Amino acid sequence: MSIKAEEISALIKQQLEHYDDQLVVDEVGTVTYVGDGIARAHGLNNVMANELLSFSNGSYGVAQNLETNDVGIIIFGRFDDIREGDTVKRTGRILEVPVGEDMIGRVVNPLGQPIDGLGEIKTTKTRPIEFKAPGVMQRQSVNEPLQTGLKAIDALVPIGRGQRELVIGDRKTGKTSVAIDTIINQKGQNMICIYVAIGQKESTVKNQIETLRKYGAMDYTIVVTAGPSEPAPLLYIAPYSGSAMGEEFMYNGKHVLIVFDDLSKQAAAYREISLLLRRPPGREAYPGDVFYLHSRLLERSAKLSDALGGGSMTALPFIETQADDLSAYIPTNVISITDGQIFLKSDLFYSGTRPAIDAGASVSRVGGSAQIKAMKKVAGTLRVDLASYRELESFAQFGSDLDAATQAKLNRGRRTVEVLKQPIHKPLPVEKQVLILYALTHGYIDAIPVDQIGRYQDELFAFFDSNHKDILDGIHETGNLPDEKEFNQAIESFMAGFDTGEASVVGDDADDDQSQAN
Amino acid sequence: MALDKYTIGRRYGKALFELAEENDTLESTFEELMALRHVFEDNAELGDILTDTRLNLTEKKPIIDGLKANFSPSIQAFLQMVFEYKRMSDILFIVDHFEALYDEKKKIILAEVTTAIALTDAQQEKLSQQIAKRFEANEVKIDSVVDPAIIGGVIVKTADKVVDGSLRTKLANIESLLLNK
Repeated sequence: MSIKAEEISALIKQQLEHYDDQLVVDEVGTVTYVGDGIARAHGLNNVMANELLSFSNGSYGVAQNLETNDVGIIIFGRFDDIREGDTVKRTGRILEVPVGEDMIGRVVNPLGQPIDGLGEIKTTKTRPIEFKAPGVMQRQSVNEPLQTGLKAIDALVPIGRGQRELVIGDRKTGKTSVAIDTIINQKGQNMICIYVAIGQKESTVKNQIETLRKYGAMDYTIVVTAGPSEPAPLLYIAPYSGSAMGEEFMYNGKHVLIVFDDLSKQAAAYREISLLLRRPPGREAYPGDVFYLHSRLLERSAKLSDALGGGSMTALPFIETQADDLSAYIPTNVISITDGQIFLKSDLFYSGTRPAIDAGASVSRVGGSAQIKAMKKVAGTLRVDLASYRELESFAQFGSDLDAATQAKLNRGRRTVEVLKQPIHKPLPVEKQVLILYALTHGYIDAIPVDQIGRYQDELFAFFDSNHKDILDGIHETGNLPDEKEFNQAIESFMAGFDTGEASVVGDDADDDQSQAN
Repeated sequence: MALDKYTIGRRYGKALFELAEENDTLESTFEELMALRHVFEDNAELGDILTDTRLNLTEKKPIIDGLKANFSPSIQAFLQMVFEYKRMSDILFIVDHFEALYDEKKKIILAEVTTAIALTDAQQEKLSQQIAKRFEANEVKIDSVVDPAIIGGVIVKTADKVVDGSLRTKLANIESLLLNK
């Protein structure tokens, strides 16, 4: 026993060596008001904006409003046991979150504390949550693709690494599914993903985490979540702390994908804080700097120059609209900041076109240069096809006789829409996307009945996987289309064996005889 | 929005201070204001009663006259004006700000010293010398508080600075140091 006691005392001695018995002069203030996650304090004469302050109950806050008589403070953590007259102490530091490799695979709150019950995160590195975005000389233009695995996005609104692509749409239009599928598709793509859930129901977040875990995506993902029951300051800082975690990787030459789900809730949280801090309300009661709120956040996602390691941070900010109203305040702001938007429409979603991407309204301003050559070739005419189809579609409903060219356009359009449909959590590798789009744009699918396109696609992929793996690998490795003759031949040999009859016995050669002409 | 009490205190206090400085009556005005504070502290209701509507003007008149009677003409004028502007409830903040300006000019520091046991006069004298050196002050006014909960050591608190040398804080620091590692 005596040995043990000595060991312990030796250990404690060692730790106490670091104890600095210095008298420090603390600058303090007095709380004059507290409530709703914010406090006001008198005194604190030399406090700096955004400085971290500590309350006597152990909670931390950040100085936001510096006024003549008092300081407005947002509180991170418990505020129900802070009383009027309590002291607030300056810390001389700014808010930082832990960052680094050890965060990967964890679920944390916006302060970087684990909430997944998997124990302490042992990381020594921290980064300030507010950080200046890289400047002009520190960037380069986007040149590598980020494959989302969604045909509709990779073909029509391609995203490059370092791009900020807004995902916008009403509630229940599949915004989160786009993000989750994109994260799932990053497996083996040398990407680190950060999913920032802001004000999302805890049950929803739990489901997303389970989905990610099921598809093995948590191995390279950090989830930062601030639920609706957290005080508004935590929701407000969530995307900034997510960005800080991503920056650590970006500045180390790695590639990061960060999803902000969603920024409308963050803006609402910031509005709440601002109104409680008595900042003057502006349009829709948002404070004057709500534009800066999002612009300084999204500017931090960038493609760094080679001198800085060439890392990137791709941002997928989400905005929830009300009744497809893109001209509301927050949507217009964020549209103007980002490099394009993916617009999800509820009527498309309910008519079965999922992902419900509105090809006409969605754009990508920089991603095109990051697309692989093969995809650029096959997807070139897709947008025009779709646009002319949408135009003719309403016209064709009058049922008048149509000439052959119009018929052909309608046919192609219908099939294009069908091909771009994709089931949830089934991202496709880029070579397979190229394959099916090649078949589409070269007219191979025109003869297939619309309701069989799904089966056609599955069987085409299976056929190529077993018989022409070399062609797929070629596209994957070179990024170019394979030799046209060879490619056509391969597709034709598949077409010869494809049964366009009623799909009662799928993939069974025996029903060849019963096939009907179509 | 109504001005808050600190802003009011600052405005009136500064005006009064500058006036006293011009007339070279800083010391006497300060003495009188300290006496005034004493009156207001003894009668906590006084400020409110002179401001709110419980009494009408004729009823307030004798009170304000009685209050003014003992002061010099300049303080009398000050009180009359504060009364007319219905700021009597904020008079302590005005006096506080005047005192802050006065202390700043004279380099006087008001220190609240908390100890576990009462300080002897010699200790107090030594401590005030130390405080004066540390905060570069000419004079230190010590307001001592005894609080056995701090176990030992001393906590010195001036306007917005705290020097915490108490045993309680040291033990708490050691505790957090040992638990975090």
